[in-house]
Amino acid sequence: MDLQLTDEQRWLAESVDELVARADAGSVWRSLGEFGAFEVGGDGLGAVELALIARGLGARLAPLPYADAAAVHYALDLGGAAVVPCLAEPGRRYAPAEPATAIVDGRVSGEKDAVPYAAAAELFAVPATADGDAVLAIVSATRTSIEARPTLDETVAPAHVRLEEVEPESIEGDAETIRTIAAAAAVLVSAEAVGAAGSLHELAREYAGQRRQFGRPIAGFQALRHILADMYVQLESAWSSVLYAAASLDERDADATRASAISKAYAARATQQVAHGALQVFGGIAFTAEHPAHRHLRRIVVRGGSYGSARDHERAVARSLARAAS
Amino acid sequence: MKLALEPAEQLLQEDVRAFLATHAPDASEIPHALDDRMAFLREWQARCYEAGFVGRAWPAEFGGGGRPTSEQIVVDQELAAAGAPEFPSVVGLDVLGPAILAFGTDEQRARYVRPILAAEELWAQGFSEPEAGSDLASLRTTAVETDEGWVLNGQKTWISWGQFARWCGVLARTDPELPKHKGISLLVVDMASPGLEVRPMEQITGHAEFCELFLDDVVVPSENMLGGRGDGWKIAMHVVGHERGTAALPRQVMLRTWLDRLVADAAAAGVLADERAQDELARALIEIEVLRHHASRTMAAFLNGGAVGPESSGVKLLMAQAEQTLCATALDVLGDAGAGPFWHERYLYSRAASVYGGTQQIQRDIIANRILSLPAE
Repeated sequence: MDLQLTDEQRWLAESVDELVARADAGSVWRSLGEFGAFEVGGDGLGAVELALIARGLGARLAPLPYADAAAVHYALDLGGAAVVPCLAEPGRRYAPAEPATAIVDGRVSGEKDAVPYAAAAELFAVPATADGDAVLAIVSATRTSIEARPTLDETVAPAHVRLEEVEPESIEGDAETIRTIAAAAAVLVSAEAVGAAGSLHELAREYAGQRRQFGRPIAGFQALRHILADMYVQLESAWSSVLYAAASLDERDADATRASAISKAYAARATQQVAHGALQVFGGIAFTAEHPAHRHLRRIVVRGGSYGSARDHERAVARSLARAAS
Repeated sequence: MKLALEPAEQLLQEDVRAFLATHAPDASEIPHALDDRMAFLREWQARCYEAGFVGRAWPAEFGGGGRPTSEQIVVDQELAAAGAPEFPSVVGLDVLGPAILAFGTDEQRARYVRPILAAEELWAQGFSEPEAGSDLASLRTTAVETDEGWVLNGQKTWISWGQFARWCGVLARTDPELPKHKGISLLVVDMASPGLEVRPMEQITGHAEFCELFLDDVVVPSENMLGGRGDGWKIAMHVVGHERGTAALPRQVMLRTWLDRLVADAAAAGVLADERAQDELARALIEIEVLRHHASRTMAAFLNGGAVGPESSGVKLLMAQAEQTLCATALDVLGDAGAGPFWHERYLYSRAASVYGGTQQIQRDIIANRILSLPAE
């Protein structure tokens, strides 16, 4: 098992970082498309490469549904559209491939919950049941009603999406397609959160070296050194887990679905702990609106809840353990 | 990036499985009395060595297999997955053997390495002292140069299986006037030397795996120094890092077999239907799996020719935590009586996982100093 990045993968990560640093907020999405960031499969990108891009965007808190759209493009060719998967339903257990949303007489009706970047999406990828089987309906966002919900992160702004007898643009794939998209989405938003946590850890590390109290840098105090060391291990292990899950998707490993659940559950909790540690290292300054720490924290918490919370994925792992033993 | 095994590794995996299917001893076959148990385990290691499964990546000219390190990892993972008993040469294989290969002379390699692999000679590690635990560099055992060789005086502790060892790698102060980390050398001490006494200590698990070692004017021939005079600290840090880096993957596989056993125990006890028990088991599994992911990524750098660096400290932190979570979960889910002797012993031993091989706090210091480069305390 080799979990080292290739030179091409390293180059990709550096290029995307440069691209995001240079482009202004309005043109990043187009630049990503021109760069080929949605060209998946064949000679194009795999989940590992998509995760590298998502991490780079997360590090700069780019307010874009990249992880979301890339997860759909990973399974379907939709020509680089800003498509967002709608995988959760209100009041129901998180089970993307068992939707209550239904297709009757060719029209989609149902309710979806916690849909990231709903207001910015062109298309929604909507799991729905047609004649007892799960399929994926691609619907135009303009045909749905989007209701904003309270959120910690207004850039991601997860929303409630209602579909009332919507005529879909197309019907794609089956339950397996939905499971692949759900697994990719879990892995890619985790990569984004790892990026946001990584840049926050670096800010905290630098700050601890500069901020002086009791006549010396606070990085000299073992209590803080150990917080920063623990944050580092949480960050790196979460990234290892994301890379492993991404590689298992690319290699069509039989265990890929479970690997993505493990990675999402772990990365959501680990990145949140990194953010909490950083706030502790910064102290009072992190609680001022102008300081960047809270924007990282908000992104990490909200992305930790996108496409199944840590608890949802732990439950999925728990159920499979119990099933295997009975 | 590649998860699947190479074709050669797959063939090897099949070979090991076939070997284990016929030769792996059942737990009930292993004798209880300590002397018989050791004899049995030495024979077991010797059989595995003959089959090419011990020291597979060590140089062929000194008795090893001369194959890539990745193959030894495949073998170790298969041994762990089958629940095969641990090799009695563990200290020689993980610590002193690698030290002899990296820092010894060719005479020393030719003399000591093969008997480690074949379990003909067991080794002990004389590093820690009663007053030098985490602060290992403050060790006080002295070695004074005389016409007959080095004369050692002092006390060592936490000597694993010291009562069975033929040799002990002892860290001693050869130049007391030099500052702390300098002036320490590594000497190969014959455990049958006059003036040397071994006292086993009973542990909380009821076993006497560890011993104390008393050195009273023990004479060690001059040629028994490993590396140069004053190289002791460098060698010790090298091998301790090596131990942290390479032990994690087979240990992870073993933890996975324990988790499977715990799930089966929970099902048999009728508590597996409880969702809260399921969730605790899932969290334990997640820690074990992430340990695998992280150790694999860290090891990849090493297998591709790099050194086992400070990154191994992160692996050690996760490894100790995964083992402690699993064993505490076993007690919580099964209860005291339901856990029984198997889990009682593992729970107690798991508490040492965050102490041995460098405490969790020492690992965090290593990360803060050497990876994060935080300004000095």
